[in-house]
Amino acid sequence: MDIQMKKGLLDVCVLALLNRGDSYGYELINKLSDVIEVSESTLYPILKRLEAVGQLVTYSREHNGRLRRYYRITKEGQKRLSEFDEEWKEMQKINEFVRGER
Amino acid sequence: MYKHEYLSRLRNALKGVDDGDADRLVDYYREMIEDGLENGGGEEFISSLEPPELVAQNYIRELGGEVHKENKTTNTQSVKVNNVGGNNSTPLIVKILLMAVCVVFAFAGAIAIGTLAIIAFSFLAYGFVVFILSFALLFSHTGVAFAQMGYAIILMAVGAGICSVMPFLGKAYAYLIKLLCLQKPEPLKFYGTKKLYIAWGATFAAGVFLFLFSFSAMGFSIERLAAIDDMVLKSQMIDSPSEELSLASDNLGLEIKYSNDGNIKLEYYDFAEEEKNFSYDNGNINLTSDYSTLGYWRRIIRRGVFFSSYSGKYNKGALYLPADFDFDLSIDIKNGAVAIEDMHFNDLSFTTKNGAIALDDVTARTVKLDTKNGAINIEDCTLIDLVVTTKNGAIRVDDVEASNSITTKTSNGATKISNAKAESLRGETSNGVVRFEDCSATSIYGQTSNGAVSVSRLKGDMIELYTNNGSVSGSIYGRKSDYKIEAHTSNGICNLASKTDGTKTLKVRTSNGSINLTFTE
Repeated sequence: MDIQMKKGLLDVCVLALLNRGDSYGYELINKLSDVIEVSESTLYPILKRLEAVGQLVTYSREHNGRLRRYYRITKEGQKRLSEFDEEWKEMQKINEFVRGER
Repeated sequence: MYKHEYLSRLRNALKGVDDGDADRLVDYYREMIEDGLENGGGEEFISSLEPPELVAQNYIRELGGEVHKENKTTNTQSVKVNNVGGNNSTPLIVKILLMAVCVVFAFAGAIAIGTLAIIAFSFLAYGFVVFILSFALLFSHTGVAFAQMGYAIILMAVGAGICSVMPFLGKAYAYLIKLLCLQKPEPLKFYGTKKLYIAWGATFAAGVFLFLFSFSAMGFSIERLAAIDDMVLKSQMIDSPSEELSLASDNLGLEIKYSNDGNIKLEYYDFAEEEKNFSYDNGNINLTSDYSTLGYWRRIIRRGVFFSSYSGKYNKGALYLPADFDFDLSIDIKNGAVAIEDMHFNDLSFTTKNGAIALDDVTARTVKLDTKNGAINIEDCTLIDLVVTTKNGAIRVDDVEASNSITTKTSNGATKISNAKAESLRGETSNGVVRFEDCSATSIYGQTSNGAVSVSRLKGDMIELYTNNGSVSGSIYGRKSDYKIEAHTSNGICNLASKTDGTKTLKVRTSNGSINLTFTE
């Protein structure tokens, strides 16, 4: 898959996972790996970027005597997911055109 | 690769990156590794991650920077957690000394943190118990109940607070030790959410509020606060009884002494604002503490706030009896010790729940002493009958002559009877040693379930010594030929063969233990 396209898709994949519930790094990697190839070093800048644009927030919670950072989607993040839904409809039209079905 | 090695290499590779950014990335990987290890990943999980230098390189590229040449010089030396010194140039002797210091510090720290944990849990447990018990007073002494609840909440908040910071204290201590060992520890961060601090603060404040609020319910005033130490010695004259003098009290450590002026008198401490109730009627003395709100408030302040107790003085008393006191004396004290020296009575009976009993140079007819928790010491007394019982506490009888019997019984504690003379001598305990030393009686009976029976120059016509778990040993005064002997042990060696001839009787039995008795003249 094209790297730039993959980056864009990874963003919405992370937001989609967080939309189902707060999560943490290790869990996100494991769940995302079922759908799309992603490494720890790839995920980190994505999380950082999404936080910078206000689409997710982070908080720490104690877990087994240590701190674990959790991520939570914001309203901005949910808005981005709705926008992706609309974009995907556009993508489907383009895909049909490229395949000659339109 | 170990976690520390990975993170150390990552941090080194991030030189030149802003500290905050570097910290966040290292934290991210630390959590990732810890989660991976927690899910059973092992070292393979760490090895499956991208090399730390590559991670740093990609990250720096993301930030729009270049990889600095010095970042490529990574420390490939394996860094294990217990590597003291950190580099090969540190002399071995220094490394050994540092190791020794680290061990001592680690041990001291473990003890300190362990002690803190015990204190914290004690606060929590004690506070919880006090809180629950407060409900019993809610309708009868409302102000007191609130004071107690407030005090309990404060204790629990402090205990919970200490428990919460203890993991951090442990990490902080480990950080110090690593610094001491010339290792570079990971940055230390204090954690705890804002909500947690607010919860602590609110709980503590609620406890303080409830405690202070209770004052108004108890009629608190500054004048009363000033009077808190105002204790005086009170004296009550008592008319001679017709047959028996009895004293009943709840909390009283009592001494019984001779009265110089020939009067019967009870002395005790009380506050200027009277708190104790004294009454005397027809030979019955009653002295009880009024469980008043003020009295309880005093105890809360003294014990709970200033961590001191005046109860030592507050609960002391003395009963003065004339030299010609010729009545029965009965004392029933709930909590308190009694000490009697150089006195004589007809019949003496003393009962206490919690308190030791000491008799020295007492002459009486029948003496009955009973305590639940406390030791009993009887010395140099002349009596007809002595009956001593305690549940938890040792019994010691020395130099006592009873024309009839001496009977001692305890559940948990040793029984030692020495230089005693009676018709019948009996020492029983469930858990503890029974010891007879230089005693003489027609009939002697010693029994314990768990413990040894030990005798020294024991003189008697009928001697019975029994134990379940323990040995029977010592010396019997007399000749072996004088005794019919029944000696038996299930597990152990017995040096006595049973025999049926003899004018006196010796019966010895133990289930688990040896029998080793000799005869001396």
